[in-house]
Amino acid sequence: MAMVVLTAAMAVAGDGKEKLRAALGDPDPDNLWVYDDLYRGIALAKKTGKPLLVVFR
Amino acid sequence: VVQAWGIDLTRFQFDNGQSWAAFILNVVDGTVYGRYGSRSEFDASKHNSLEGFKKALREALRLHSEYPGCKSALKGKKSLKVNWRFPQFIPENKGKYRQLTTDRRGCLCCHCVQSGDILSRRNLRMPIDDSRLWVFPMPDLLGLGFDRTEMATVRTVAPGSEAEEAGFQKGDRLITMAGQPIISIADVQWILHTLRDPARVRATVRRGDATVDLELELPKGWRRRSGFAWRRATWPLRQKILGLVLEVLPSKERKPLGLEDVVLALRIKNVTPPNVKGSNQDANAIGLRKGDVIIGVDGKRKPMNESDLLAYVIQNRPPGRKVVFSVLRGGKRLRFVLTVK
Repeated sequence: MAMVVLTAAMAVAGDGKEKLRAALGDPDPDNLWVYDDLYRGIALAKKTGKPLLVVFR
Repeated sequence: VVQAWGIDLTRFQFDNGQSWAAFILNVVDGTVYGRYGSRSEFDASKHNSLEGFKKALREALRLHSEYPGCKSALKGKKSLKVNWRFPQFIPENKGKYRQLTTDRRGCLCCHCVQSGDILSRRNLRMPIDDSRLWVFPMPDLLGLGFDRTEMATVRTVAPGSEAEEAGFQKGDRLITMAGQPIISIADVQWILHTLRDPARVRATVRRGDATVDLELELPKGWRRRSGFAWRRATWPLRQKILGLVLEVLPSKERKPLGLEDVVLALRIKNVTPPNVKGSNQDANAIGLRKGDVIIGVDGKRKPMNESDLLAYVIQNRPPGRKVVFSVLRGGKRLRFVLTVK
């Protein structure tokens, strides 16, 4: 079993999200995390039946 | 999560004085499997480890596999009632921050949840008890030290402590506390966070092959054994309420001033400068100075640290009321009357 992983709460569209990630030095080369989008993380967890891991930092 | 803007506080309550924290939940009904991430006033990372985090995640997955059978046992892990659902709507925070988009400027940081809550409650004359100031107490307060590479395995039991009195032993693996399955030290902190003062709490430990039930008794004032002034949330409190940064005068510096260790002696480390927006500038106005030693507060001489003094003012002196300080400066005793905000 796995988890849906989420590392940010806000929905900030496309480029802005990438800029924010770069500005905060949050690399995610494997693209494992749902970044900066709590609602997408929740929707994904609901759809897959997986628990959600949220990291606050 | 890199900002507090938009966090639903009815769902996500954690120690927001940390630089890193994790939350594992079932989004269908908000059941919380566990929290991870602990820190004390002395060290930001000594209670966390990758090994411990992995074990906590595995246990969260196991709980999820048992869902909904474990749902009732996990009920107590859900958030407490809040007055304001989102941090940006806490009155003290309204209009002061912005939602992050591309950089960190103007960030509504996690610690603004606690400081905003306290300052808003203060301005609205709502009660602020110890549980809002001394938040997420570490179990060390009760003599219980945990192994950071495990979920919640006892590493040390302090002699003479409540933990020893309850019968905890080194190597005990904490299975449940207050009926809640425990996957981390942060889970223990959550339970302590929600307890009254004084309180009793039951725990079940695995000791070898045996399962042992214990009861921990928390005496009146147990939270106050630690300080909260190390938390970032304290900065807005000290700046806005008192306008002072304080430190306990060390023992060796007391003797030349004729002060015993058992009396109040708080040195002013800084008076908040006028450029700090919204700060209380009365300390500056009445002439309190860096280096002054406070030896009396409203006639009281009992020892206090900065947390105790802040709590005293927050809980007993609403905005606009006065606090009388007796101060030592250059061998002279002076009296100052400060209007708090």
